[in-house]
Amino acid sequence: MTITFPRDLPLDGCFTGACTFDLMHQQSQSLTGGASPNVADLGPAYWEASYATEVLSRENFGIWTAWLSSLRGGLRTFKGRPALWKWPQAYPTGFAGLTYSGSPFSGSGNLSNIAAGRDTITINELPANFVLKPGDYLSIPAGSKQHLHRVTEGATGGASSVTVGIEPIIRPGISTGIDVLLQAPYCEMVLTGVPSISRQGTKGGTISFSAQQVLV
Amino acid sequence: MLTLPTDVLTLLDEGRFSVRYLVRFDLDGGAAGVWNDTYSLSYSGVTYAPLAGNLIFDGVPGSAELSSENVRITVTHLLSAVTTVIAGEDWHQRACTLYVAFMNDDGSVLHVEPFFSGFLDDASISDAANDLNTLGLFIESNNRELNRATGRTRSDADQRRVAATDGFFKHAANANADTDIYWGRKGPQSPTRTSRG
Repeated sequence: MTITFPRDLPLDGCFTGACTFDLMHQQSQSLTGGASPNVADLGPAYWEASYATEVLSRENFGIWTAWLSSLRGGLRTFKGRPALWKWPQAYPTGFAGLTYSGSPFSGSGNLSNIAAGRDTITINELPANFVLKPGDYLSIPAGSKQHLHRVTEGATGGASSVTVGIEPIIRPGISTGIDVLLQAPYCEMVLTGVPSISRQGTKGGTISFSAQQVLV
Repeated sequence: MLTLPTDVLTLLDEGRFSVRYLVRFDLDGGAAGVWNDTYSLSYSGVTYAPLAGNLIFDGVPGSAELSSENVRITVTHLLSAVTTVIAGEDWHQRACTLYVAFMNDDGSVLHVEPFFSGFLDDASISDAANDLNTLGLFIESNNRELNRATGRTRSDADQRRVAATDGFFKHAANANADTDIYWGRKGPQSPTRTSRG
């Protein structure tokens, strides 16, 4: 089977160890005598992640090490997303049973509006009363990459659309009419540093690695 | 005096704002540019390719002398936006201008202000294994032009090369010859004193 990149996380991204996934702001800060910190934002924000597993079975350990090898260090990208995250919080077991226009919901909506500040969007082509909560994730195509956004203001939708606040903002140049991925949303990431692969005597071992978003 | 738009002054007064940096290269084949955001920016007829943060400026020096200062920009040369300029163009000693862009909250550009201009003098690549890949671009200030002799002289020939009928320096060649000036009489042949005995 041909492997394609960006590559999906193996085992559905089922990390059992302590993981982090957060937005990194490129900012410099100066503290003034008046205790009012001045901040200059010097570059676009990007997602940074660290992933870890507890002790894996020998088979799963093999799957993870093979997956890491296929990335060739930082040469190839993978679909990074928060650990143990696949669906919005209101749908912990998935979208089974939800329909849009008489068909099973595919997991993708359509970006129908971007507000002036580019931090509030409306998504349509959704099942009725679709719920997105603060802390949910979605991703949209941005040029040749996929950009991940976190919901900051949730809402319960109407007949087929929902309007939510997001961070980071939708980059200028992106317009409406594109897919919004709500099932396993992701951004393209590359490995940073060297993965830690620790083999155990009786079982497989543990895996940990860190990664950073590829923005352009 | 530098005049900034009111919107920019408001941002600066708040002390919390976003800036990005633009680098414009005036190459033989036309101007090209890069900037440190995620989308292609069209400004003043030039398209600035996105570097998404891969752009670090050393401080811009100030000097009261005629010495030529330079600014170092560090980028990665793994991005095609950079290799297009460095590998594909004759960049040496081409004009280069640095700008700072003040940004709106929606990611659009509010105002662009130039802050350094000079000539692309040197590009050094560092790509050691297990280390960062960097390309250092040294931009020499256009102050250096102030130190250079122009080749012009205060001579009749030089002046006429600029303006063929301008004879302002016609007698300049004789100016350094010794010439006696006789005040109030007609030169040495005139009687200087008569003895009446």
